[in-house]
Amino acid sequence: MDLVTFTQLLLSGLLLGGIYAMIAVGLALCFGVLGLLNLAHGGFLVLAGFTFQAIHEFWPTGILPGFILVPLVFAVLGWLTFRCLLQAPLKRSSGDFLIPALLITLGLAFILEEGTLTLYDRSMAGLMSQFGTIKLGQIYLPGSRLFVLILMLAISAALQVWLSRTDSGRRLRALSQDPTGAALVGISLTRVTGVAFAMATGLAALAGLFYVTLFTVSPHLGLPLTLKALFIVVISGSGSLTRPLIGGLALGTLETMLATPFGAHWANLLSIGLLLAFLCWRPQGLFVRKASTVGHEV
Amino acid sequence: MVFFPNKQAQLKRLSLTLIPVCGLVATLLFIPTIWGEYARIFVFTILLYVTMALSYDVVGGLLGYLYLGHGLFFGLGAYTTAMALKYSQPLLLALLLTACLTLPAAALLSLPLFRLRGAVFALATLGLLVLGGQLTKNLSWWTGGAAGLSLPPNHDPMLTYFLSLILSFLVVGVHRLLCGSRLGLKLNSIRESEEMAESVGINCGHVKRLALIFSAVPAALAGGLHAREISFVIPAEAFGLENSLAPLLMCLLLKPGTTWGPLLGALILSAAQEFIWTTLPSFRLSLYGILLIFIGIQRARQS
Repeated sequence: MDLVTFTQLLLSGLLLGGIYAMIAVGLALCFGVLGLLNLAHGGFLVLAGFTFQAIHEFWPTGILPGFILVPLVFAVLGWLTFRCLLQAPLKRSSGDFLIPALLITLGLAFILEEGTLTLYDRSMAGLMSQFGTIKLGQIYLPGSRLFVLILMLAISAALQVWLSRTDSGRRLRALSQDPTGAALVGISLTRVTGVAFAMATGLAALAGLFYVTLFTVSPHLGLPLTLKALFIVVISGSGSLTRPLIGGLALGTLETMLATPFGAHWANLLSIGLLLAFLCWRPQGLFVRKASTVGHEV
Repeated sequence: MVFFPNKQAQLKRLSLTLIPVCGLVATLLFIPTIWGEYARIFVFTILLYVTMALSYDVVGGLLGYLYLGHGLFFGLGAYTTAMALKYSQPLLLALLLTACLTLPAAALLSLPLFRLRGAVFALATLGLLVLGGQLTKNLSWWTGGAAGLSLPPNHDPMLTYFLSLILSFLVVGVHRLLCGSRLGLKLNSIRESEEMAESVGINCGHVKRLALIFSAVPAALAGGLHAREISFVIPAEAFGLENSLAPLLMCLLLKPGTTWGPLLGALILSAAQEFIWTTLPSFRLSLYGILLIFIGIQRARQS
């Protein structure tokens, strides 16, 4: 493999990884703050992708407004979903919310999948060919990828600033690092969790827009995609947003690199298999110390 | 099992259960000849669902794990049987082969799977299901890929019907025995507290492995019978998520961990499904979704 091919591959790998990272960060927000593994995440992503495609057909020049509008609408949708379906069970359950939440979000994923199918009545959506090609030296870069790359960088920067500089971001981080401590200093659990779920859904919608710009989306893509990102989140352990980000980037790069010698379907298989193996090897997360030592510290 | 000191009482109890069961079997046997093909397929589907729901219950109810990988064994069974039939083996031999293959597969898979618990276990089993489907798609030179395998036509539909009848009654019987047996009690104690069970000397790893085997073999046989019935297997259907979810819902709908709960759940849900297929076919997944949300909210209230 010469250097040009390698760079080209690395670039497309990082783009796919960027999407994975965006999904994983959204899921990690939910997992860290709510203790919730959200299986419906990919459903929102796919629905957003299809919605964007429909908007684009209706209004061809509306790509940039669409990129702002769709995530906002989905954030509101996510907040509503949280209020209607998850908030009451979360409050009511005294112990482990993970299992009920898994059942509820799995149900939601099904409803979203069927909703996407009936609402848009098509099996594919993709906008790949809407942008031209840009040549940088010897590297060909499709315009859509450049556009997505720039937007992705801008969004991760904005997310970082929001998390580290604003009050609501700080509250959220506090809650994900130490729920009891956060409650003691007067952070409202319901308000922050609602915001976290809305943010996560908005991020899923954004990832969906990127996905539909770079690749093609099908209604059945949601669950496998969510599963991969959830594996990343569990392996990274809760309480961190940088680890899922890096994990997502790494998985995307690895998958693209594997796709060259083995083909895309084997790369997909290998990545799921690898994540599963990691999960079974270290179920408590790669970066978490053994339970006994944690107990001693407390 | 309840201990009866007197042999006559035991015989009386046995006959009290055996007579209705024999009556039911006879009725079910004559349904196809009286009401024809549609009734046969409908009852066949219900019997398979009963098998799936009760075998799911061993891991999902008695052991109390949230288990999403039941469809993996259904798909494995469907493909094994289909391959054997493709090489023109008789159905019984194909099913025997399926059972013999599923047993070590389940035992082997239980080693990494039962290192996990709770939500992570659920995710990992879901991942295995996706992995199985993808693998079957990828090995296209062997399994026919995404387009699937077509089998030689089913010349003896009554045989599959009869076998499904035997299988479902066998599963009900085994489940009934399991509920009252030492193994069943061990499974229940693991459900209540794994640490406690381990501390009173139950070999949890071994018990859980047995549970997975008890659950996997009937599921694989059901998959094989389904493949024979429709003479066609594709990965999207054989390894579809529905094969995991339908038994899960049937089991959790009423009272998991009992024999009658999943049994009634299977009857209710398959009737509901038939109704939706004929009236609102595009609403099928949403029905699953709504039921899942409902069960999840119930679970949160209990925990």
